[in-house]
Amino acid sequence: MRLGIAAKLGLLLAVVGILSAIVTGFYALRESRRLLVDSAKQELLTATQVIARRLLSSRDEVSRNLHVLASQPETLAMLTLPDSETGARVATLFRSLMAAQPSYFQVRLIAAEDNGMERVRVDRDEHGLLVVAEEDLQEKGHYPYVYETLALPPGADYLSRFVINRDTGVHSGFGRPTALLGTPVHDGQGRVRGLVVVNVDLDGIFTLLRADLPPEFQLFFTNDEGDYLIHPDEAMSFGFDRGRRHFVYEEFPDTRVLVERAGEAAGAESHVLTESARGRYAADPVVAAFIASKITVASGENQVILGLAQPRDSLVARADSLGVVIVQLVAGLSLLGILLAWILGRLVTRSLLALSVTVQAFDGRRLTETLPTDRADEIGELARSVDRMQRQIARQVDELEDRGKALQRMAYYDLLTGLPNRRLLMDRLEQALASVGRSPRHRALIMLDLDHFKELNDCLGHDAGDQLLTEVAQRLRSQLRQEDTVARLGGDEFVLVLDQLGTADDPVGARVQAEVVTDKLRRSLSEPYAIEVREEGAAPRVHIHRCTASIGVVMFGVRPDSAGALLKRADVAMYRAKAAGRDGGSCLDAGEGTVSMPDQPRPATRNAS
Amino acid sequence: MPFRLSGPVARVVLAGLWWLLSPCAALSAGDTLRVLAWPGYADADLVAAFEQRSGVRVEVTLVDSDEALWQKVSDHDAADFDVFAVNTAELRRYIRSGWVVPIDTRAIPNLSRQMPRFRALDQIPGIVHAGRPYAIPYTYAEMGLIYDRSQFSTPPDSIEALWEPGLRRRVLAYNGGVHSFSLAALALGSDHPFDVRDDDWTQLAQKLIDLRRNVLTFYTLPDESVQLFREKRVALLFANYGSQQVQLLKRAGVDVGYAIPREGALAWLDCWAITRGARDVPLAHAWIDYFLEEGPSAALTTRQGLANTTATPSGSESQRLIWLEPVEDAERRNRLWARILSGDNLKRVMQP
Repeated sequence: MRLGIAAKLGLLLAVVGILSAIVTGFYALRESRRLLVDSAKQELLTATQVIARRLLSSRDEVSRNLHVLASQPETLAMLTLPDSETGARVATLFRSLMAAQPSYFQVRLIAAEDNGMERVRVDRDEHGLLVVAEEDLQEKGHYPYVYETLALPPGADYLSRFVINRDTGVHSGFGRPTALLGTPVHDGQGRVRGLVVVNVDLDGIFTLLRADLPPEFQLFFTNDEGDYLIHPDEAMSFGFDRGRRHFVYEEFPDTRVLVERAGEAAGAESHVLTESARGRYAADPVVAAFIASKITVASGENQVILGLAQPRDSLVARADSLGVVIVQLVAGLSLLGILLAWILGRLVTRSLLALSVTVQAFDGRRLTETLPTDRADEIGELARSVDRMQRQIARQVDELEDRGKALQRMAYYDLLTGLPNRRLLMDRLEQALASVGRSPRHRALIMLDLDHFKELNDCLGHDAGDQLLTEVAQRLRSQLRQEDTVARLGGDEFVLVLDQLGTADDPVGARVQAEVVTDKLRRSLSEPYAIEVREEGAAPRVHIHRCTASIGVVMFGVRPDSAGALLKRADVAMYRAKAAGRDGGSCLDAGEGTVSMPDQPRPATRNAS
Repeated sequence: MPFRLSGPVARVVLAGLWWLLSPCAALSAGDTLRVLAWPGYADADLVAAFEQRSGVRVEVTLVDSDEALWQKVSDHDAADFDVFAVNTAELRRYIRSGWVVPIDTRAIPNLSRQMPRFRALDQIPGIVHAGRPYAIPYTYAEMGLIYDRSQFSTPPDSIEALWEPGLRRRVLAYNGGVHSFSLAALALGSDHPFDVRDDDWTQLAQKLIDLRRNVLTFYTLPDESVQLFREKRVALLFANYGSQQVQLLKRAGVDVGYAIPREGALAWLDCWAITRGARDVPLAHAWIDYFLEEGPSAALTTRQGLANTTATPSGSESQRLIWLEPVEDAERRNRLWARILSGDNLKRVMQP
């Protein structure tokens, strides 16, 4: 397919336009996607911080509750002077608290003495709250949460490690992830007498935290070594309790720095924003935020790590909706680009097309005035060039035509007399003969030559001869009608064709008419001629010349005939006339009938002095 | 839009390339050897070396007590693991329950590297049953007493030191029912610590309640004992993991001594055994054979302070070692121990 300039230019412009739109769109999309993911990560971090704060505040709440219990006079009394009545009152206190806090498995009062004997213990089982009988109470002094809490100053808290509860004798808490929070109870002398300890259901707390999160969010919680305590996959939680540890940095390598920081002194909260496409996230990569939070109270754990993960796709989905807008924008811009390119292409090529039309319309003569020659640009330059070229061509065409006309004259006319020459005569004869069949009519062919012309030429020179011939031509012409033809065959030989003599069925009339014309001609030619003679070294003079002509006439026009044959017959007739005596009558061809011409007195040639 | 090589096609191509380039492509790459072992028995680098050699993936699960080991092996008819480390005392009940299968000693050429006393499998109580060996000794250790030199002018020479009121809450003992009862029996002068008579249970339980009242706490893992020892100024430690703990403590910069009490020290001998549910028995044999090589054996000693079965340790020949034997009723010991640990009094401990 042949592409025009407009198409090529338009295509180029359109391609450039589309490409730039696509490139712009691509970078806009990539950048916006990055920004969206970044901002989503920040949101994730914020959400994690919120959850960390809520976790902290729920620990604070446990702590406040503990302090309330520890500060009750009955609590201290039960440690210093235990009796069943006081025990019942403390148990009621514990029960009322546990009733309000479903995530508490167990609340206990433990003595510092008697090997850490439990004084009051309220357990939760599937039926509700249960005050454990005195004989079922146990010694807990050998547990870290007991000896660690007892070592604390008044009002301080101890947070145990997060473990799966394996204590026998507990009820619903058995086998469940748990943490213990304890606070010491001091007497008036500042001596530690025991502790109040709450056994918190970790699952319960995290279920609460998780409830407020969108379902695609995944919550992680680890101890200071990075062991998962809470993981979306139950099998990954508390792996150490089952002998196979699962560390957060195995799934999220960037969190290793948080775990390694566990041993450092308590400082600002540190966090990691990361992504993972490992293991279970291979198919569905996640973006995650992890916060390492130092445990500020005395604890078996230095820190905990809390994390939130969100499928990357859910973030990218937001970017994708933006992507759709950008794609629409790119498509729109591309269309606009195509349209503009088309218009621009048209604008540029319209002038060219106009030029082209103008040039095509130029026929070599008529100059076109529609060329935009007044434009200042390249198109204007081109138009001016075309204009110049047109003018030059027109000039040359004119010249050519003039030359052609001259050539034509030379071909068909006698230069001296301006009469048709032999060739044109033959043409006209042929034409006349061709029409014989269609419209037969009587015509006459008259051939004449001047008598004694050669002598004139020899005596007075060719110039005089030429003057005579010119004068003869004029006189012949003046005697004939417009439709008749006078031609000079060459030398002093002339041929006349008389058209339309009389009617077709009156050959005699036609012949008479021809004779009349012939007579007129003879008379006219016999008038004297004034010929200017120029001789070298002498002034020009006028020579009066008289001359006669021999005339042969042939009638034709009713039967088909050939031009050559006609001329021949006329020639014969003329020579017969010449033989009969110069300035003599003409002979008519036998076939057409003969006209007898009366003898005329022989003209005398006389020189004018 | 960032372009990642993450399409399913790319993954398939990469997986294909990996498979082609993998040196073990010819082997059954999908196989996994499931190992149940104690901390320090199957270090990651040793496991990796074995994985590379055999072309299978090894999945190591750690246990910290005989009870946990029994629980894991017996779960799902011993189909969860292929090979596991168990001491000779425990092995008998696994044989009785049919959880383990006999070992084909011809499939373990490295047996010839072992010391004579370990090669004579029929001389070691609990390994041979009906004339066929069910385990291959791997490592052993005696359970001595670790003490803080700064708190002892002379090394403790009796187990009774664990009950010493002067050391109250400065003693660490091991959280394990079977050993604890054997330990209590030794402390009470019994010469049959693995066979508690009906009359003795109450006395032993009381002895262990007394121990509970004297210890700071009970530990389960070596690292845990080291941390407690350092941070709580512990004076005396019943070293269930033996020289392994000595080495850890010394490495942690604690000036400790190690003593074998005059009553003798319980000593355990850990062996590799193959479960009934093993998917690939020859592979399990290859695993056992591998750990008798010089490298893994030496690593056991240099890294963990554990004695291996291919080299003679220095000293300690004169010391009395009481090889652990199957106990009369491990389940009863554990049941009672769980109550003791939870803080129950004697009456509740001895409840049926």
